[in-house]
Amino acid sequence: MEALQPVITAIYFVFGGVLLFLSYTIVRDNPRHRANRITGMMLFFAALGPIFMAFGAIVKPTASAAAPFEDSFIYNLYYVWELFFPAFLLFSWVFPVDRMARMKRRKLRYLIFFPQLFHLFLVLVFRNPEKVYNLLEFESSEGFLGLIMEPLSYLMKWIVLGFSLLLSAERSLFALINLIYLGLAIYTIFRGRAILTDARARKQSGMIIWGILSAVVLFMATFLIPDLLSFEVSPGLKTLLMVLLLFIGGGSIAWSIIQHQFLDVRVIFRQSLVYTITSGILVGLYILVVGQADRFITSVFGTQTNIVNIAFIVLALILYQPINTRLDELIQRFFIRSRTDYRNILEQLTRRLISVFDPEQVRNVIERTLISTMMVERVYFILFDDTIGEYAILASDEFPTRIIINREDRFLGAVGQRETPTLIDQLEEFRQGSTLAYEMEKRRVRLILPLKDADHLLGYLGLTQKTSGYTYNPEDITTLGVISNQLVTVLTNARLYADSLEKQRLDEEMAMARQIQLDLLPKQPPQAPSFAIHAYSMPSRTIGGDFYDFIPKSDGGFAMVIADASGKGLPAALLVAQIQAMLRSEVGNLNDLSRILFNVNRYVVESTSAEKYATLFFAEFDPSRRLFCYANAGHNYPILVRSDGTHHFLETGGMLIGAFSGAQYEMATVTLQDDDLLLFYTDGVSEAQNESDEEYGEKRIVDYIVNRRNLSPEELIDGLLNDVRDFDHTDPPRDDTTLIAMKIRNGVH
Amino acid sequence: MNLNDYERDGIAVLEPRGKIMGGPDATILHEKLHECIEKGQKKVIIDLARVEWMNSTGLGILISGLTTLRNNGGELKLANVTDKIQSLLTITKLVTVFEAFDSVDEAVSSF
Repeated sequence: MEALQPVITAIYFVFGGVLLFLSYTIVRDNPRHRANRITGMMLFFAALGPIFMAFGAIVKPTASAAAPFEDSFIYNLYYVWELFFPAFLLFSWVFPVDRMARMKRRKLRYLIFFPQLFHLFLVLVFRNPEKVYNLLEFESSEGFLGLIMEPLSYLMKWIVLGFSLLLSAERSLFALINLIYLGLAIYTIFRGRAILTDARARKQSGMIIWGILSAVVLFMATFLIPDLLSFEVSPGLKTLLMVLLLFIGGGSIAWSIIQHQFLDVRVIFRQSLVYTITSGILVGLYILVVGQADRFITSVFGTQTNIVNIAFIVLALILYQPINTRLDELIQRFFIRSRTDYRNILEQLTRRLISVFDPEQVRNVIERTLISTMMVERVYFILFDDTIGEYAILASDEFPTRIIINREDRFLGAVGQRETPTLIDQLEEFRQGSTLAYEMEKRRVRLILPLKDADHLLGYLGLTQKTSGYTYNPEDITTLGVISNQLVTVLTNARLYADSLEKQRLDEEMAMARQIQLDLLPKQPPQAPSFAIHAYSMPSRTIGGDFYDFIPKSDGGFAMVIADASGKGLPAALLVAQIQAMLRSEVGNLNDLSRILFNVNRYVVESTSAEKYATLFFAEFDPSRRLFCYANAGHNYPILVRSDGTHHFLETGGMLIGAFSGAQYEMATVTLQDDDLLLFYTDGVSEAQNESDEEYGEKRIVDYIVNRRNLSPEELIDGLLNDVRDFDHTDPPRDDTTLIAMKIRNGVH
Repeated sequence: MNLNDYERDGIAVLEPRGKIMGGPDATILHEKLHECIEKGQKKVIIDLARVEWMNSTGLGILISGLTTLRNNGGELKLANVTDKIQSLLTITKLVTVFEAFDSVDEAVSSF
């Protein structure tokens, strides 16, 4: 036991130091918080216990029989430590739930310190009542003064006697008081924990409550209850239990700070803890080694020497850094999973996001990570929307409406200037008239985090206050700054992926639309011995606004149409599909071309806006009489080439379809003859352009077909298309291109 | 396409330059025409002298402009129609609805 004493002393010192350090750190980080101040105070008094014990162990051997250590001032000062009990009771009022805020006459709470202060007073003054008696012995005074002082002196002596008697019951009495305090505090802490509804706050407080309670209960069992019942626990067991309770109490607080951000103490703290422990170990070693070595050297050489002291200091200087490093590594290994460590947050984010590409899911993961690691209550996204070119606050559970922020917004501008996370309070001057500021306040956002990479500003994250009720400390802000870069990458990747998916989906839809449009075209033009027809149509994009159709009639003839809707792509395709459907239905009901076009025009005007129109050439051919009836609704004039090489344009008709209601359509009829050639085309052919912006034009078309009028329709169209492609190399062609050639066969009726 | 506009004798003259195509051109012209109508300016001339080319969408813009103005009791006339646009108007038979003049002055005095 004697040999172990220095070790135990060292352990007391280390724990005393750790507790003092914890007390200091907790108060320093948030001195404005009542919980921090009170916890700091409690830990301070708790630290005094082991420190005084260690100190006592060092001083004791120097005491003599004449002046026993128990009589010394230092020994009695030890009772300051008892103030831990009222401080612990105070602590139970602010943790885990702060109930003191609602208390009336809060100042009165400090009265609970009275019993222990009184005890200290008793111990300091009346431990040796003889000394006080001596002080009160007056030389018999003469006259008036003596008359007053003598009875007063007697009275005082009686009072002293009373206090001395009280002091003799000291141990049991104050053990009882302290026990009552501890009991009350434990009860209050459990009541407080029962009120806690937030799961995270429960988890956060769980460790510390169990840690402190175990320590306190151990203390009760080791010291207070034996004192109260006046039985002795063996010193060895006492010391063992003392070390254990210090380890549990101090350890649980340190652990809670590092793992659960107890009282919002910074992670930097870890480093300081390492230094404290190292220093503690060195001090312990000093006490352990130097005392023993000194005694050994003195006994061997018979003289006292400083050599051990000097050697120890030199060794300590050499070993300080390596011990620090080893300890830090050890603690790193335990605490690398520390929640607030940005490396850990980054690792978590990366791991969770590795298989997530959906932007909404990505945002979810980011929100969950920040909530679990930074203790943020909520995360709001303010992101730039490419499609509208504005920033928007995305919808959330609580605020389901997406809110677009005008780019002139002052607050947005002010935030945009910042490179780092910014507390809303620092932007007070920009709040006036700002929608963003108003919306952020509504959501109780405390911190704005810009998401910026080298040259893009994606948007911002708005973080509400922390669940612990603390504000963001500089370390949080640094951590958020580091992870914001990662968030930018993640969000950008998610958006690119979504865009590519969207594009793929659109491509697939367009491919289907193209198939539908191809299916709407006749598979095969009408064929008969008396005529030959060939048709060609190619959209410039996947789908287009050109179409042609042949509609068989009951009299053996057919109706035909070639049309070109304004614009390109999907809108044009929808318009032509509509016109085609109307024509088919009208042809079944009516025989009058003018009437059919009049109706179709009216429908299109009614169902589309004015700038959507189509040009259209509509005709009916009766092969038996070789009569070709037509009406041209604003379409490029089809060309009729006679066998002798003369040509005519088929102009008669009326206004293009779909622009003006009530348009009238005139009809014309030509009688076709042997070897007559008809060419119908859309402006994709006539408006093809060469490098010098010259158009292919109607004249070239006419020249080409007049010269090659003896070719078959198919050969003619292939040849003409090649000629146009030679003229205009644009690939794909600028416009939808449609061509139909029809030839009357020689001598066949 | 760029769009200039000025007023001559209480008549708004719009002067597009370049190619009149789809997309933003339509929006610009459309907004300008609506601006005119809102200001109570219902007589509008579009001076096509500096228009190099016009596609089917461009033509659609003119049609919709004319319709809009007429629906609001106004009128749209064209000035300095180039040969190419003239032939476009002829083929589509739009000549029957658009009044076209050789100069802005002629167009102005026709109101």
